Amino acid sequence: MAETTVRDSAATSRASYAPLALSPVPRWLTVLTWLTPVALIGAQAYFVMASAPDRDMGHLQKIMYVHVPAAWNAFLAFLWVFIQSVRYLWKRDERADLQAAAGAEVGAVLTGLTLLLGSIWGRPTWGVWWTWDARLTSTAVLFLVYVGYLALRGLTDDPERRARWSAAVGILGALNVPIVYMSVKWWRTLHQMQSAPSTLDPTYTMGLRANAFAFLFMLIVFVAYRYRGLLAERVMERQLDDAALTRRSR
Amino acid sequence: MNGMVVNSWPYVIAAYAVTWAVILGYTIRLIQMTRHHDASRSHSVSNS
Amino acid sequence: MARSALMSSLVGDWNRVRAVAWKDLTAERRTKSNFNAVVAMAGLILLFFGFALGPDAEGLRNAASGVLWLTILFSGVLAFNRSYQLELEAGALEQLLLYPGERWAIYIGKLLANLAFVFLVEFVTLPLTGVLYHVAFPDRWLSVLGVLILGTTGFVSLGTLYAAMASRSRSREVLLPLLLFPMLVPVLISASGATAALLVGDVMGDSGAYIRLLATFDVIFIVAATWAFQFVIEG
Repeated sequence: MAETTVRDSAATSRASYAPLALSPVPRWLTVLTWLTPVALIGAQAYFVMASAPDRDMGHLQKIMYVHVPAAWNAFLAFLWVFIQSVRYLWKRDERADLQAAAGAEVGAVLTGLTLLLGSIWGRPTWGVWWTWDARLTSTAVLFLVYVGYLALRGLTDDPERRARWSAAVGILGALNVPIVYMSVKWWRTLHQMQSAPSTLDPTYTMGLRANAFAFLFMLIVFVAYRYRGLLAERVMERQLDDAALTRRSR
Repeated sequence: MNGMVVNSWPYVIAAYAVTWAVILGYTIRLIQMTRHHDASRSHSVSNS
Repeated sequence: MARSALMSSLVGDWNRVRAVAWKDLTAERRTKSNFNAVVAMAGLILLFFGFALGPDAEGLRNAASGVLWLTILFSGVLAFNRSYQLELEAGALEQLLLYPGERWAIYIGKLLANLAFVFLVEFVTLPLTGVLYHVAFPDRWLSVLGVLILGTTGFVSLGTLYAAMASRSRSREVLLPLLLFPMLVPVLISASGATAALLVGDVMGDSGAYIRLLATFDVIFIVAATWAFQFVIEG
């Protein structure tokens, strides 16, 4: 019995008692924080005004300027979750776990936004709010996978266990994305083809790119601040734990 | 292609309204969180 | 020399797998109450889908494969948490982890026990679906059986992994399906697609693509879940 206790405490110290500290906001983050709203407003104002109505889609094409960048960056966020989850299981660095958590939350927000925008675009274009096409459906599944990820984090109390579990869920979830996409695609093509209109005029491509970068800045800023928040929470929890421990040992 | 002739502006405006609502909503959440942590950190420092 | 060492370690792992599976199945056989409850639940779901879809025989027949798979998922998910709950009582899991040997052996053992359990449930669900939804006995029943085995394997491989987490967190009843079901979209799509195709004689010949997808999914997720289990079970 005593042996178990020793083993457990050794495991805890290995995983979660590497020093954690909240450093002051780095300079690049401050710069990016102010750059992001400028980039977002600038890109949207310019391209929404400048782009001519599309031959097929009319003004609806302007929705793409936010829909597509939101989707791209949501995928980037989940790639971040995957990378940090692998890093956690490999290095057992708690900061990797917190980075993954921050990425998952921001990614879920962006995925939710992508779905809403897709729906708003789909109503006048396809005449329906929802269609069972491969991209839309797999995005919805992706959203649910990460909602589950965040729920698991919320419902697990032990930080070291939470980190291991959510890393496993994050990796398997990322693994599942291409499989879901493929399966929905087959499922759809066996029934009917959904033709997506693709017209590429240069303003459109430029507008997409500008907004994609603005959203990327926003993603980085959001993840960075969310990470700092999670880190601050953990630092505080550690202080409380340490205080309780010293009090008990005294 | 039944929806093609309708006025598309309401949808565009709705889309941008939703986008900015989400962006601003999450920003406000992050600001509140940061303030909360700053407040409790200074509190715990003064406490010790 | 190295070869025989590898062989003996594999034999040891296999014995461990068998021991875990046998232990779980014995516990299940002794009580039986869990099995009966899950089978009753499956029957209830089948009946209720029938009520919701209406009495039209043609409509029921078309919905049969989808309903069958939803019933398997919704009833099977009730069994997984249980497989760990028994371990949590009296700290049995900690003791299990103290035994020497590979962690993945515990996963495979539990996977086999859960597979046996779900297959037994399906043994009741399948004929019941046939009767309630007016499905004629399919000509290619061997292929249907193959799809059933592949689909169940994919379902149970992930269910066994996620239940190891969900059963030890707060509000496990909600968490397990929330974690598990989004991951199972490919299984649900391909298994019910293949079953639907096979039940009508597969005139379009699309069951093959679905079965390949199902097999791919199984291989990827059994490997991934076996690997991930060591991190999940650590402490």
